[in-house]
Amino acid sequence: MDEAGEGEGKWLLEMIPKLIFLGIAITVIIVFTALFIMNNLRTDDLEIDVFLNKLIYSKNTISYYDSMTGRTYLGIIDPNKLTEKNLNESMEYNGTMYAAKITLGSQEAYYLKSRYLNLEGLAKAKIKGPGGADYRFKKFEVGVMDNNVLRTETIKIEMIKART
Amino acid sequence: MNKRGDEKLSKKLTFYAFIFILVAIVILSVFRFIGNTLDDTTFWRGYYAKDAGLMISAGETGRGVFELSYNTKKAEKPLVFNLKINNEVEIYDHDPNAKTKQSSTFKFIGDKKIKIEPAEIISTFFNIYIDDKKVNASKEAIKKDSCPSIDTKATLISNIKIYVDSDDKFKNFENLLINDLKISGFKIANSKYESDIDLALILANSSTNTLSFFYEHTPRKSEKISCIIKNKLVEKYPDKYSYYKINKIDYNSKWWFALSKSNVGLVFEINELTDDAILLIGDSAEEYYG
Repeated sequence: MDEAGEGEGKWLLEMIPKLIFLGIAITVIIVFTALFIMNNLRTDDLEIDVFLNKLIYSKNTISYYDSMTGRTYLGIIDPNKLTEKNLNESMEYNGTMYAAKITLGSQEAYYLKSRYLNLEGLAKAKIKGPGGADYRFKKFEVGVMDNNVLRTETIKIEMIKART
Repeated sequence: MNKRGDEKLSKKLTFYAFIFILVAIVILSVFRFIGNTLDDTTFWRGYYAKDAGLMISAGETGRGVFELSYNTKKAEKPLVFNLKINNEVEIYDHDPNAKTKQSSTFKFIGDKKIKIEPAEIISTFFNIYIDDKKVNASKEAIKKDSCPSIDTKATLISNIKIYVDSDDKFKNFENLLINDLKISGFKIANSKYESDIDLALILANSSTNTLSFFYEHTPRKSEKISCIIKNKLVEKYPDKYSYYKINKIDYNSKWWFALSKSNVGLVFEINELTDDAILLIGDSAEEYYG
């Protein structure tokens, strides 16, 4: 037979872990709510679109630019500008989020090649959550101004944006 | 036997009461923490940093000149726009007394041939200018707004009792405002403890060149009178003020009591006043009740 008060003491001891668990559960719920509120502002698609527009429309990237008229021809690519060196020298980014690969026919060029190759596997694995990366690609017909001769070619732009 | 059962029940009740109080404390403190750190301004800081950064990035892509009139007026607190040379937009709370800087940053993809001219702007309104050589930002003075159209008309101005007070710096202006209001026909309360004060107008000193207003209750009415004052000042001095905000007054403020006692109360915080500005405040009270 238990001594007097032994049952209550045991019960009290049993309640302590439950109490701690309750506190942790409340904190976790509140923190996740806060994270959800913060993550409402998702602009990943927009950011990738702006990046894509910069790649194909900017005067200094791969579009054909006529210095005589000061005009950039949208949808016409200058293959001489489609080099890794030109891409890295034309766009400036101090973060660690973006990288791209551009394929025009048999010609291939990277923007931040080593980062692209590092992130490619992770992005194509489609792992969700922080620490992952998003992969998008666009494929369309463009004009190519090659030695003053205009021809049609398919361009494929693959973009990777790291999530953190 | 029953006595022992009562004791056991009493101990259990005490324990459950303890749990209840502890849980309430945890919930309240966590909510308070989140309320303080993740208020509305946190969202707008992130929003404006991303929005302005993406706008600049898109603007650099285009040809010609791109001029953007931007404002951060949706945030509750005053914000500072900081355009950094390394293609980064930082938005932070303008709070000179804050121990830590509350900021949000966004790194955008820039163009190496377009130079970013760094700018740190404490203003609700500013312009971002982008051409094929540079990006810069400059502050813009606040503009006139349309004020709330709620009816605040008084049947007889002579029935309206106004209490006026001020910081030591503005005591002369306080007397000028009282005289102006008397001439207009208003009754002036001699003390904040008087009953039936319709309007409390307090002139407070500010360290920055901003137009800040504080109210205790009746936010729409307070917004209307602050808007009238602001519009009159902006009309008179179109380039002088770059920041306007209206917020609820802090409970610990020395002006809280005067505001809480009156039907409508407004603290007007400014760093510099002129005789003309005071007359405009008097005109605003007349317009509000007229």
